[in-house]
Amino acid sequence: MLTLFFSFFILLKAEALSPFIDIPVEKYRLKNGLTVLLNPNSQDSLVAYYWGIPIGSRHEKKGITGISHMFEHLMFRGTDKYPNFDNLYDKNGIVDVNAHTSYDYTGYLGKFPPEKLEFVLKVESDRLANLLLTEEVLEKERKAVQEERYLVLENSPQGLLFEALMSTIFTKHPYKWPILGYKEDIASYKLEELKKWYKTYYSPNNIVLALSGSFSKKEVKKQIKKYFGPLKAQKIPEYSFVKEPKQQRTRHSVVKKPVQSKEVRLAYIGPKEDSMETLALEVVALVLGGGESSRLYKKMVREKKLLPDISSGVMSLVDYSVFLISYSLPVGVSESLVKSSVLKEIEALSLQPVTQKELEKIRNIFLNGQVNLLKRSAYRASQLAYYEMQYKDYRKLYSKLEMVKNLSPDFINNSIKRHLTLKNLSYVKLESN
Amino acid sequence: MTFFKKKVLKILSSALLTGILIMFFIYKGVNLDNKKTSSFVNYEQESPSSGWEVLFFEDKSLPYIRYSLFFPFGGSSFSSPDKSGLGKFTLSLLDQGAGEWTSEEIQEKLNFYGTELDTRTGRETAKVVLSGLSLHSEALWEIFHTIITQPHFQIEEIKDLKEKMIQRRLQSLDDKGHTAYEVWLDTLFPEKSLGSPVSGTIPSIKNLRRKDIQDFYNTYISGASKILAVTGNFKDSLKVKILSSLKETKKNKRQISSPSLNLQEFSSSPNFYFLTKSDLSQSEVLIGFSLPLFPKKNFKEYLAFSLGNNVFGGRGASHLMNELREERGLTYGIYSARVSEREYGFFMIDGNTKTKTTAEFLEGILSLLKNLKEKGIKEEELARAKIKKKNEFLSQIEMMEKRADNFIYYQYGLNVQADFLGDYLNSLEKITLKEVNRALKKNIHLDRLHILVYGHPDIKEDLNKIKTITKTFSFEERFAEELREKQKGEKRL
Repeated sequence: MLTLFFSFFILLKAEALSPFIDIPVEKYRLKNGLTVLLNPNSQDSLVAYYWGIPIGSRHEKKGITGISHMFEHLMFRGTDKYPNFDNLYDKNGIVDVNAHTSYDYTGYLGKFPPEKLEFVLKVESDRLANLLLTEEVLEKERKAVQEERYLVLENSPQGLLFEALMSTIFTKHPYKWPILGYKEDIASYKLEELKKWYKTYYSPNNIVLALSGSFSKKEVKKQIKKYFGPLKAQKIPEYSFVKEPKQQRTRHSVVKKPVQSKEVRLAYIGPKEDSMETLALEVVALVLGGGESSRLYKKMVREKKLLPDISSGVMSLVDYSVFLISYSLPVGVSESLVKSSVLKEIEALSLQPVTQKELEKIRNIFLNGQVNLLKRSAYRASQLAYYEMQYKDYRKLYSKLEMVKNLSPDFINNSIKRHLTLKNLSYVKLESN
Repeated sequence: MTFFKKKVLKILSSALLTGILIMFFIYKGVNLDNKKTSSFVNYEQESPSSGWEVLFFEDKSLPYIRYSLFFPFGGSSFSSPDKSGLGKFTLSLLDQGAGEWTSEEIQEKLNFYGTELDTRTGRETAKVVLSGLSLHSEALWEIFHTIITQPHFQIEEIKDLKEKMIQRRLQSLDDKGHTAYEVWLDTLFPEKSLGSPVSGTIPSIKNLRRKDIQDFYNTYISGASKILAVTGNFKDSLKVKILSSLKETKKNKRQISSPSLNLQEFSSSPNFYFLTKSDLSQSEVLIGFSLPLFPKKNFKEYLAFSLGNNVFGGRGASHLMNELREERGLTYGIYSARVSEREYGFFMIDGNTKTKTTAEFLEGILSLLKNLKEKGIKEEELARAKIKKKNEFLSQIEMMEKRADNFIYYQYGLNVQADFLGDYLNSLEKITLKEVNRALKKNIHLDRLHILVYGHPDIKEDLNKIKTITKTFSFEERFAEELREKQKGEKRL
């Protein structure tokens, strides 16, 4: 009787931790290949839209680095029918309008009141087909992009540190250059190159459109068909994967700037995002440096008092991932002592594998993260679109939790041994000159 | 069944029954029938003891719980400039040892539940937030309540936190935008705690003593009013638990204070400061002035000016962006903001441009500002601003927790009436073009500008041609004391 009593509670607890968060999503595809994801939610007052293409800086070549980002800027310059895009959207109360370019994709987003549905779909589809691309427009936007480069890179020690990090980890793969592109490339883009980029990649069969918020599915589908239906599909060139040569030894890089805080990054190249090994590394990153109860924090901050703080995480990208440990080095503390202590702690992982309690903590972190993402319509739309773009399956948004359950201590251990090695390490620092 | 098992079952059953009875009487003792409705948000409100208000905002859409404790008087301005950072420091110590738990034990618990304590300190108010999954709500409440009511403030933890805050301070000095804003605000409120950095400086952090922290906690945290917002998916039993934890006894009854910054009608002389750093390839430009517009005092004028500001430098298409970025390509981003807190307010324009176009950029901003004062905005611009502000507002309050935060901030932070936010959109709609342009004309003072340019020293001459620089100082001069403190550490090697 007692056994049954307790078994019931254990079962209840297990059920409560399973992925019970689900949001209603309808997915369909137009004849021209446009993928649509609809997540209606009558509690929202507005509708969040996000459309993206799985094209980012990794699709670029030398000489046109940063072109996907440059193009993202040009998408806001309007069309013949709808010039002055920003003013037009402002006038119609479309808010939170923005865009972003990453290594692997480019996305466009905003929010509108339900009565503006047709208007937004009309304008968005028009800028996919009839974007105004002239020399005058290019020159104006080039200046803004150059200013942006000053802001986030040249005038930002942290930005320069990150640029150095990526160019140290990657020697051949396009992840090595900054998303904004090199200065000389930004200065030399030709209009024809941008027109070619537009024609090649901004095709409905390469786009995922997600809507989340207060709308009628019937009406939305009707309007999407009306405005996006006529867009012509293009053959998207096959992605030419550039294999990063296997690293043979630890790499070092230093950025010297008149800074006050010395920053250190230890980075390891890892496998692609869509792999169990990358998930294992994400788990390891949280165990090592996720919060004040993590192993590195306890060792380096509490016990040895070498650092005021330390953290680790994984940047998961389509072709490769980057396992990263970050810390600031206080004045008077030995750099080599800290480095060797951190490396020792990584080695210790194989002797003291990830515990069940740590795994449970990580599942709670993932679950919390998922709940937070789902709170906002803009995040729902962008996350749905992201997973659909990268994996052709938006449901991967939920799958991490299940996948973590399938990670065994042995598998995690093997991932550590394969990827977190001295041979695979890039040691990059920012210090005062 | 063995005798032992029978005994255990009997004890368990009795305990269960007793527990149910206790809960019943606690429930009956605590009145939970305090539902309130504003046109903005539905909530339940309780006042379990002096200094505590508890508001419950139910949201069954997702399985989360969020505890947010708001301190109307917990901001950085309630400590003197030589102890700047005290407020933030005190809040940051709350989860570093409390009740029966050490700092490490608290972090183990919080991180196990996939969360950590989030502390936010402004200039007047402060907040601590703990959020997590609703299935952990009771456990998280226990930790949160302990952290807030029984912090240790141990010497060792104070020492460790000082190291952390000093390192963060050094990082913030490397952030151009952050440095420019800090220096600019100091020119607006010189020698006032308002103008001191929220996180403190290296000397002020080093200067903090345990007694300072305890005194701040006793006066502005424990001894001042606090508003707890519980948001998310929770059961009645959690409400009972929270209210009974906070119930007042004769023992812990205390006097509650409502301090003031005592600013009166403070204003400082206009100035143009040029802060230089030789490695900069881009300049930060900040221009603004003190602006005593508050929703409580002069609501209509406050709204009218907000609309004007939205047209001038709000998000999206604005006078500033249209001219300086879209037309002239001088910047990646420029915006303006109207800040109105409880006792102070200001208007500020903030943008950046590469070194060689700084003078042109500054001139452009001043010209647009002059134009705004003299000519105001147009009818169609006002119509656009109203729609934008309405939808930005709706977007901002999409999440229940944001609605809760906004409600509490306006009611308890800014002391406006409960239905302020509910009336906000209607009031906005009624503002006329005349009112907007009158507010702009009245409140923009071109002769009282505080200008800061943070850039390369070579542009001084060009800047002087636009407007006479009041004072030039290098980064090293401005932060000399802090850099000396930092070097003391290096010499100890």
